[in-house]
Amino acid sequence: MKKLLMIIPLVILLCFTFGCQKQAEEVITEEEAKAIHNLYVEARNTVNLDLLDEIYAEDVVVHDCSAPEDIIGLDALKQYYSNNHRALPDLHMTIDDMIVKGDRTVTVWTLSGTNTGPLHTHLGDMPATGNKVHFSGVAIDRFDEGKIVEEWVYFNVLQLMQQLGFTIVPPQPPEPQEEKK
Amino acid sequence: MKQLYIILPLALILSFMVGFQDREAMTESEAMKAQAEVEEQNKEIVRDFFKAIDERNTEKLMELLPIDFSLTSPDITEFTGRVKLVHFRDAFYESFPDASHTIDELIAEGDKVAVKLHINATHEAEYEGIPATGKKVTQYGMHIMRIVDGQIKEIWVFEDVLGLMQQLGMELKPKEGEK
Repeated sequence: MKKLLMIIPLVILLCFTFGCQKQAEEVITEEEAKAIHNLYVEARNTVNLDLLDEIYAEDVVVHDCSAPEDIIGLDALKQYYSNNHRALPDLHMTIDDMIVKGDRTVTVWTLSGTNTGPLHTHLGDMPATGNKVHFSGVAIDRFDEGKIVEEWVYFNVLQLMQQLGFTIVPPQPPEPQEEKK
Repeated sequence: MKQLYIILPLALILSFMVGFQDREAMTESEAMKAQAEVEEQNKEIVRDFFKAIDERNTEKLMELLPIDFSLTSPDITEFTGRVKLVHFRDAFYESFPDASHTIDELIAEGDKVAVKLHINATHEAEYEGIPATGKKVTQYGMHIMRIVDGQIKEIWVFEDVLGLMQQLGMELKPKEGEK
């Protein structure tokens, strides 16, 4: 009889251990990921950048291959996005595919717009060209406590710059107005 | 002691209930385990793929790709057929003979694998009209692959081509020249 009494707590302990194991796997569910990315698209398409407060952690770090340096902090990210919107006021974004795994999501997106405002580049502000852009890319987001804490963005920046009227050329002999970093 | 006799049946009922829940959880966790196994296999296929590319092991590539394999680099290139990929690879390795892929991260879910990677290479022959520079370059990118029956059926490629071109000495200029 005494033995049984010992077994019961053991069984209960076992159940607890199993229960805990299952939870550790998923940091973000598919539904949560969908909701967050839908909100992101809304923030970008309606230029309601305050919505980003619900999506990104205050100290988020974004590695974007089109930005010369990492974008550090939500304020810097908002500034970056608002530069995008200044250049492409009709910017429209869609999410085409999503993978959700553990603490990460991978999203494939398409962005289109018309360059009717000044474009901020490393060469300085470029005047509007009226050109249309349309390009796709991919982002990995790392989540912690329901918010994005780190993001990696890849797309063909050359294609975008060509759509914006740029071209790539071999190094030019230095000219007086040239300003190199 | 009598109290104990009351507690025991209660404990038994409880264990039964937990047991039932557990069985449900078991089948669910078994399905998850099977899924996790497929995802691990898919990751291995992706590792084998890049190894075969770098080693120029065409035979292995043919094993890993179905005939109707397709590659999409949105708005840039899109083709169907594994032979085209081999041509593509050969052309690239002619310009960058020592090119090697390094996988930085693999995220596998369902039939898809997202691959964060970079390529290290030395520019030893003409590439996109740029004569050999001897420069060592690193290109970063991401691929998303869909795996069907142990083969890579589709690849979507996202790469920073501008970054590569700039490393080869090219400069971005507004088309009209003047600022």
